[in-house]
Amino acid sequence: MNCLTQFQLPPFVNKYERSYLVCLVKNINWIYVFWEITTEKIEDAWRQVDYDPNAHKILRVLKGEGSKQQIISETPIESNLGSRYLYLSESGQRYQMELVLVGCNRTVVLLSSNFIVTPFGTFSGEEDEQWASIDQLYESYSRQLGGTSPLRWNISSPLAWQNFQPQQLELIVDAELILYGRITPGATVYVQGEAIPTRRDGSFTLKYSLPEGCSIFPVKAKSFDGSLTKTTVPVITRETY
Amino acid sequence: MKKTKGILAIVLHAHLPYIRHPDKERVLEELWLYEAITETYLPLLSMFERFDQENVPCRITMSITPTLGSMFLDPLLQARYVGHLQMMLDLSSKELERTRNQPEFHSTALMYRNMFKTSLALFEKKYKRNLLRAFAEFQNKGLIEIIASCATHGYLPLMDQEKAIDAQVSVGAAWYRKHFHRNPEGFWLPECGYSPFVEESLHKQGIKYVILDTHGVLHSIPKPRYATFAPVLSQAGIAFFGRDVESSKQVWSSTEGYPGDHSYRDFYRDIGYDLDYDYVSPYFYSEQRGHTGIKYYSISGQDVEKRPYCGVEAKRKAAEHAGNFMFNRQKQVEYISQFMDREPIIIAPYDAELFGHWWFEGPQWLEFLVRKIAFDQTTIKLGTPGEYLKRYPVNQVVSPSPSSWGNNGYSEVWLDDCNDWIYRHLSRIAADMSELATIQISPEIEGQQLIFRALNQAAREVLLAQSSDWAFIMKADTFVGYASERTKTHVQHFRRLQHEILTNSVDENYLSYLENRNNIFPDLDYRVFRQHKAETIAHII
Repeated sequence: MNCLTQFQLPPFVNKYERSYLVCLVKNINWIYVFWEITTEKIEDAWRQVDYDPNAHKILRVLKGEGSKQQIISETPIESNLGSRYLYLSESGQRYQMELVLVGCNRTVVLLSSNFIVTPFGTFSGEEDEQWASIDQLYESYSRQLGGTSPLRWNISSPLAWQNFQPQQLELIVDAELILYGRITPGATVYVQGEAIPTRRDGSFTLKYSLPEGCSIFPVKAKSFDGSLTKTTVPVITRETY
Repeated sequence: MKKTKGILAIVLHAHLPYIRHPDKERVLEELWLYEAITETYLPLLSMFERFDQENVPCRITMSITPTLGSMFLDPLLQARYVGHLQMMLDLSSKELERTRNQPEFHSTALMYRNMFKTSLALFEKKYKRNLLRAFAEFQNKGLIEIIASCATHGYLPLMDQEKAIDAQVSVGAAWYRKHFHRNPEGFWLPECGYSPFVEESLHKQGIKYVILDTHGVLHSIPKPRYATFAPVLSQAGIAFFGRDVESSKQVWSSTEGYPGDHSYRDFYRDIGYDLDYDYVSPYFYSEQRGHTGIKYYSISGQDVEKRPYCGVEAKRKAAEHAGNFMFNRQKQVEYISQFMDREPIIIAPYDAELFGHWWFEGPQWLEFLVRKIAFDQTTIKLGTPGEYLKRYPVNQVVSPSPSSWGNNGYSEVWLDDCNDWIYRHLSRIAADMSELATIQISPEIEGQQLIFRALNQAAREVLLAQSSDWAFIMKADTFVGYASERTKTHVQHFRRLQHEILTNSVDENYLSYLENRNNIFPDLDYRVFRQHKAETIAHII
């Protein structure tokens, strides 16, 4: 029998030679942050601040997201590989960290972390009530994620908004494909070889971009125990004249 | 029949980390499974069997994690469990002889001998070594509702990679579908660990409900009108049931809880520590003294000499405590139902192993409780969260608070000075696995099979490294060496596989060794870590 000592494993090291900044929530007020910045990345940033001798790295805490994001604290750091616990006074907020190199004339964002939400920590003062059924919310969330239902689907154009010149007539047309079906709940369905999630009732819907020409979508269903399989292959052709 | 006023939902969380060492004869940590089968899972199955035969109405929710369930199904561990029982039968026979002239211990020795004998008969003859199927049958008969859980009990709030969360949830749900032949409605979040970032993954698997610790629901925004006595819904269409404080404390609390009663069996006073080393050492799983599972004393109380255990007295206590628990739930429901427009639900989740392993009389207490609720009163009835949602689908919509059921209610147990070093590695291997998952492989094409297998094994190593148990053990300061080693070796195996995959130099010998050793999820497809490609699949609903 083989045993582990027979095989050589790579050393267990802390350094990954990759750049990343990760933030994790410990409790209501404390978060744990760890990072690594590669030599190339830091050198590039130094170049961007014109090798400013006063430039320094800081770990920045941002509250909120998008245009409402605001800086709430900045902590100087030295090492390109490190970790630390940070205290956040305000609970129940959405935060993100940034690792930046601050020079006299320019600030370079080296890394941005994942978003976190800290625990609310107390009873809410908000008493407005909204009531809904679980299925109603489920459907609405599916739509929000960009999905559609086979029975009530709306196609939203994937085209980006473009500003047309007022004196010209322009036309842009594209097409999408909605592939939907249903299997016995609990069985597995594969589309183009990949297992795809189904809804509780076994139905599934996929939305594809549809290029010119012939597209083939092998759909295979497999029963729970793998004893039964069924395959169907829709072939879709798009021709534009 | 008088209409009941409220529902008690008992939830048993059945979990152990995946521990299986085919290249070693006896591994101390494998003993956790054997003890749990003898002391918890076989007694629970026997209890369900009696309910079924005697038509006792029983509705209990159970989560059986894929790691525990996979160990239930593993032929090597099944065979080793039989070997363990035979060894325990040998020791308990010797104990019968040794205690022949000690009447205060002899009846307890006889109890152990019968317990091991019965366990062997049940395991081999009745259940044909397959405990997972036995639980599934009780679900099919309607006695229990089994809910799904994460692939390897990964603690989701400390995963920064979206695909890591997604893989834990989707592999767990797929495992459930494969073994229970239905879609999971409920999902046990490991350690009740919740952050809003888990919702999309749960939603994609069609999960209807999860259970949070009390404050996860109570601290919701806006304030939940019915506190934890009705579920709340999130915008993702997932229901959140909150743990009831009172019923938890009565069972969990080390000071006020039932398991601390002086009549119950003492867990720590084991013959492994009391008897001559040469006599007990052949039954140890390591060179150190340890538990054998044979214990002769009752808890007795602090600063007093330990009294010999009396099974009859302990059983009487279990009945009394079950009556007390039921009485308190009745009063609770009578009071709360005045303020609600529906039946209140009391969510009482416990680690399954509390019943039998830690609290030896726990299964007796549970059996008394179910019977008493069925026949001795009409105020409450047993029910499951799934049934409650079908009856009351409309609920308040809130944002639940990030929370867990760990000490102090958040992530301090799993993220602390003693274990925070693991997260850099867990984050990196999950990120790297997502990158590897972009590799397009067709296992049907000759020459690609090996890479396909290596990618799947790399995904297995990531999942196994993510078990919340390793960080927990480091914090509990118990089997720290084992937990650290497990984390490190899974990371190292991943690293080696990653290198071999990227350099197209997969060592089949090594891969086969790993596939045999870390053999969980034989059907795992590494593409669970793949980000959906916008150009191919715009979105999967």
